[in-house]
Amino acid sequence: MLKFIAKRVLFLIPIMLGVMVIVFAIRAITPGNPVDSLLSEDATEEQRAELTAELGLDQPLPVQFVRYVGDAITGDLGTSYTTKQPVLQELLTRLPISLIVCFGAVAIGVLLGVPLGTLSAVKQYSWTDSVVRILSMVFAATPQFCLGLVLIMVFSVQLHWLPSVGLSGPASFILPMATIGLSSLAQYTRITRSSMLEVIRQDYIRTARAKGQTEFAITTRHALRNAFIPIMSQIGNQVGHQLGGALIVENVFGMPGVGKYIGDAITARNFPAIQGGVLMLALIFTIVNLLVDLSFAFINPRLKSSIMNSKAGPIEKWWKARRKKTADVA
Amino acid sequence: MAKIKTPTPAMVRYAKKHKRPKTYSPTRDAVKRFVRNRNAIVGFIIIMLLLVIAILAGVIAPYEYQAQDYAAAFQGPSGAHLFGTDNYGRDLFSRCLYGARYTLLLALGCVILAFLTGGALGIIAGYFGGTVDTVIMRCMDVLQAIPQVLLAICITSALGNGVPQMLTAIMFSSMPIMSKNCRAAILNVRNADYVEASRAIGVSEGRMILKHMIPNTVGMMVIYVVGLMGASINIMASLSYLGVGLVPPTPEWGLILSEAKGYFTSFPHMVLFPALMILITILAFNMLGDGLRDALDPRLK
Repeated sequence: MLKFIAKRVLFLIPIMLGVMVIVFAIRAITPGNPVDSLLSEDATEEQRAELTAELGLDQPLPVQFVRYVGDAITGDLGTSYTTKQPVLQELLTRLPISLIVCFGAVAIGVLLGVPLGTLSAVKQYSWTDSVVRILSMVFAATPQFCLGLVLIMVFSVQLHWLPSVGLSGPASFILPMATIGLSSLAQYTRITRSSMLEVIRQDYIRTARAKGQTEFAITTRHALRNAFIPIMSQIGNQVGHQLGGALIVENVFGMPGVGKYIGDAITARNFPAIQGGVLMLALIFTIVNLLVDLSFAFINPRLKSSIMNSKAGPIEKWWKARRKKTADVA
Repeated sequence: MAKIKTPTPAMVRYAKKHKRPKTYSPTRDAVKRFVRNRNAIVGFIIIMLLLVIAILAGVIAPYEYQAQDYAAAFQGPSGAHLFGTDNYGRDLFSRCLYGARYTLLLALGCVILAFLTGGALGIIAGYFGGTVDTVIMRCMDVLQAIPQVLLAICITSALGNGVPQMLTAIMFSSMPIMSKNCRAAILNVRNADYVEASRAIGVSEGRMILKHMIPNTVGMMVIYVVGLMGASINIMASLSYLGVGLVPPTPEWGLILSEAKGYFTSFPHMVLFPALMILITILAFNMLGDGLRDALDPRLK
């Protein structure tokens, strides 16, 4: 088990290095000199040369890349061209907003999608089933920014229930969360439906029914639990999409999160900010995927036993020996 | 020599009664399943209609897509302007019709590029396996570590605005998913008997992939390509909305929407119609894709 976890965690390193290559390449292929963006127009040649040397832009690209990686690992993501503040600090103040939107959206998607998917599986081919499927198809086909605009139109402009743009208290989170959550609804209903359809035909469901269990208990306690593994993996996949969605939705709703930060940085061609933002989102995305994979191993007994029975690697051997030793001492 | 007998009436009667059993081919089966699927047919018809609109946009559209008429700005839907007009007095109906041409063409371009790059890489990875597979798929893992929209936005922001730049951006961001799917499709047939047989008679590797394996996975690949059409339209519209990629006055639906976003509280029609066009198109492609999946790959049901 430990070997499995260690392997997966170590796998993060090449992925993040690769992401850094991409992020660095984006800067490298962009025409224009960052020195021009940092200095005012009337800067002297000496000032320009000094800044170029300070930023390391006179070095060959591989050297620049190594410097960039070194800086990024120590938490130095550069200085924003527009605000002259460290990018990392700016990102960290905005990150909670994005995370709340993202995980709120996942919660909305799951809390609506799983019951709806279950309902449409239990009542397969009924009108409930059709309504759920059509609804989720429509939501899936609507680009997130369109859905956001429609929600603003209905809930803020017409009904005046919720604030439309900007961050003014907890109510501002509702519409962005709902936008992302609804657009991912189809993924959850679809996977729940197909997973449930497979499960409810099984023998133990019939047994439960024969025992006289209520339909509700059968659906929730027996069927849904066993149908949950594909749903879990879907949740993991969706988090990534939702980070990307947060980028668009935050711009639609003017939420000051990481997505809006990157959006503004793109308009201003503020490259350290773009690079830092992308790096941070990629890191979160990869870590979330890792956690999903690991949680899988714990939830799915079959996978767990296959990992447990695999040959123990050096780390695991060391761990087991150590545990044995401590047990002996005790 | 045996004499050829003219069939007796009894023989004809027998032959009429016992017709030769119908032959079944996978293609015919697939077509049958597809035609029976109501959603798929609806999606197919909508896409055909959109194609007709795209081709005939110049004939159907009552105005030029960039013809400005300030006297008629901000009008709601009416007889003269079916979808109303925008802030420059341009007819939104005409813009949406021309939009079909631009949007579908660009999305098709994205998908073809993604298939030629990502798909080819996936096929190579799946066929050769080993180190080639590992290297290609690890690169794809890296690309996939960045959310798709974000990657597309970053590449466009680096390359600048314009059609080729945007196509490149969407190509790169769709590459991982395309390559993973194509690799899986090739792995499915890699150990099939006919592949082994052709290897035994010394078929070259290029011929093996192009003539034996791809034709046998074409169903799967069609599913991925159609699925990617909807996704590409979505990403393209999102990029346009954020102001990267295409530049006005290109009548791409996302861009029409983006230009209208400042006015949408007072003139909702400016947002509504392009949004509906996007919604209907993506919905149609999704429906068609699902139908094709059911028809071409019954195992996945």
